[in-house]
Amino acid sequence: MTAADVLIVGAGASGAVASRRLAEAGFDVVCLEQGERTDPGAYRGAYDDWELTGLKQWTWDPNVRGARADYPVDVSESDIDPLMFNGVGGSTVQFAAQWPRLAPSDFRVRTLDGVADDWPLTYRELQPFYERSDVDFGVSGIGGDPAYPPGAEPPLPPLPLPEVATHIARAHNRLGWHWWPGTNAIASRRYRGRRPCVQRGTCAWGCGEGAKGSTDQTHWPDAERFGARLVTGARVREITVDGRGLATGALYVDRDGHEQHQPASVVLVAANGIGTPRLLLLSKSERFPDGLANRSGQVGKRLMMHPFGTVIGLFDRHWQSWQGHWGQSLQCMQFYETDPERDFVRGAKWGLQPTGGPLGAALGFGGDPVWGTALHERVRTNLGHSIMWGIIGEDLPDEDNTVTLDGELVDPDGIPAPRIRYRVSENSRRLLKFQAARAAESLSEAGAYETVVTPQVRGTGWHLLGTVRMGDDPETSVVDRWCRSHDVENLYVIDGSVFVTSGGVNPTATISALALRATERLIETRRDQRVP
Amino acid sequence: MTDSWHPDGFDEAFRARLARIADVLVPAYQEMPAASSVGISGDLLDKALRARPDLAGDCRRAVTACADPPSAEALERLAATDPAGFSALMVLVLGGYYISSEVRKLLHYAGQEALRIDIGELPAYIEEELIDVVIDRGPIYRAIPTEELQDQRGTSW
Repeated sequence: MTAADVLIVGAGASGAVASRRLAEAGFDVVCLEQGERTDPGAYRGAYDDWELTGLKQWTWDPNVRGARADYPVDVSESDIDPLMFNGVGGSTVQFAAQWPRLAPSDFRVRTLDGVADDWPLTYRELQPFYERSDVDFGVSGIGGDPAYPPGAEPPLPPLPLPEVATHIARAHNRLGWHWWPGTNAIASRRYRGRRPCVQRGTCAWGCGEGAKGSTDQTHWPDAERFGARLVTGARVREITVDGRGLATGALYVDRDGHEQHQPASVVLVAANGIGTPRLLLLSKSERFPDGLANRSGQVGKRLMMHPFGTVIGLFDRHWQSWQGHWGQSLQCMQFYETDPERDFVRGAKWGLQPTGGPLGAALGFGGDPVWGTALHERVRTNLGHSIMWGIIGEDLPDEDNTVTLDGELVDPDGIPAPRIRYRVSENSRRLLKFQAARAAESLSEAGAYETVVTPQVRGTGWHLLGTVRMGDDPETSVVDRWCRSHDVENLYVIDGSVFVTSGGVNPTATISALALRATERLIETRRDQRVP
Repeated sequence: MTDSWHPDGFDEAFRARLARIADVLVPAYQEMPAASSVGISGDLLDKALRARPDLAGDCRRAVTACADPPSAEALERLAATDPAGFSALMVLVLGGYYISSEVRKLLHYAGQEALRIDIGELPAYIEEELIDVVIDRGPIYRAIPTEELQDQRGTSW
């Protein structure tokens, strides 16, 4: 097999960002992706069975979906179910495309609040890469948000605000609380071959319009045009190393079940906060008996998944609130920063979202099932009459929240599956309880006659972070500030695994900016890069 | 009765039994029709099963196990003794019911529609200067002292 300059494992957000930039810079890139390409015509949002298929074929939970590309995850000791999509585009195929950045304080939580650790970089250092990513992903929004330092305007104007969101904006002005039109990686007008959003409200089950900034739309066409080779149906089981401890490529199982070896000079792992530590732990050798790049013992530790709560407001008025971008129409950062008067540290971002169709209303947004006349009453009061604040709370790292290899469970290719141990912390519980109470006040002030609070929802582990943490000290971290392994000079981890702390926002803007920054560094230092 | 798609065991007698259960789950209420009166056991069930063939086995087991004629108490027992079967039954019956064009019309729900957005239109939050109130309150992010210092010195990062 022809050796590549750079081998990338995973074709999701970070893998696509790196593939495109490296191919553009003239590198010979091979990307191995365990899943397949998805035809946007396969998404069910425009069909009447979208809610039914959204519970199985298009669910976010790989354990429920059980597709050939998926691997099972043992969640028997987890308070949250991890979610992902395995295929070209990765979880951006199903993400909501909410595109907030970490705040400056997120990079300095030890200094400011005495908890967790500071990042080895700052908001200012990442800001230029945030701004370039905004352009690459086609982000819609409006500049000047006082929750962030000044910077460039998003490349696209904001998506329209539904009428109910304007009511909530007025309510927040009365309360003296922050709100801002949502920042989303969703095209509000034609942009680089993508069509504009049609407000169908099914973003998280795949965007059939191609308006959403999933990397199969935003990055892969260019990456392949620049010469990147994308191999699908390729499940990587081990990163190989030579006698000097340098990565030499990867062993993978192809679609026909045959083992292949892809040699490369440099290896980038971009397989998400569960898949990446799984692969490093699988890559044991005489030289690396505890897994690759794991001298610190930190591979697979400090899993963060962002405990997530919801508050739904019920209104007399019919808003047709199954439509809109899903996505966030408003975001609120009023309670994002630490307040010493509260019984927890750090905070949360709220995103205002549609509430879906009749089956979702009938099944009760995660509530107990009802039937008979109560069912009709539930649908009458919820469908079109409701709007939801989704609350993402900061999830502080804990070494007891781990990804390890399961002793029995295997994927369809017989490779050991990951096992998750994750407990929601007391800080998170207090944080979400406080935030939910404020979000209920928000909706009541906007005219909701009732609010339905779910402080923490189990099936919400969209954000898989922290399991291959970044840091300056090789004894306490796995990769350096440029995402390069402390132990293996030509191995990089470029996905959300490297997060030092989680912040309280959706992470894909930060994942993409970090991947772009690491890739630029790799290009700049190519002549100094030691290779096998 | 539909003559279209028949998964194993979903014969006419089974469908009639399922329709009786469906009417306990979704009875007529105010303007909303009962599940059987919109044809839940025919084309709608077929549509739901085509979307969710994985639920056929659990549904078949649940319907067979449920007392006939069914009652709310019988369904509560079913939910307690066979949660997976009850869940499959609920998803297929409700999924089929809310696909019904008659039901959707009554709910004023036309599905997830493609809307044309006009980003040239001035949003109310600009026209009413709502956003100015937020801006006028000033920054709410927590400044980092070292960064502020470097800003003052004009340091380039």
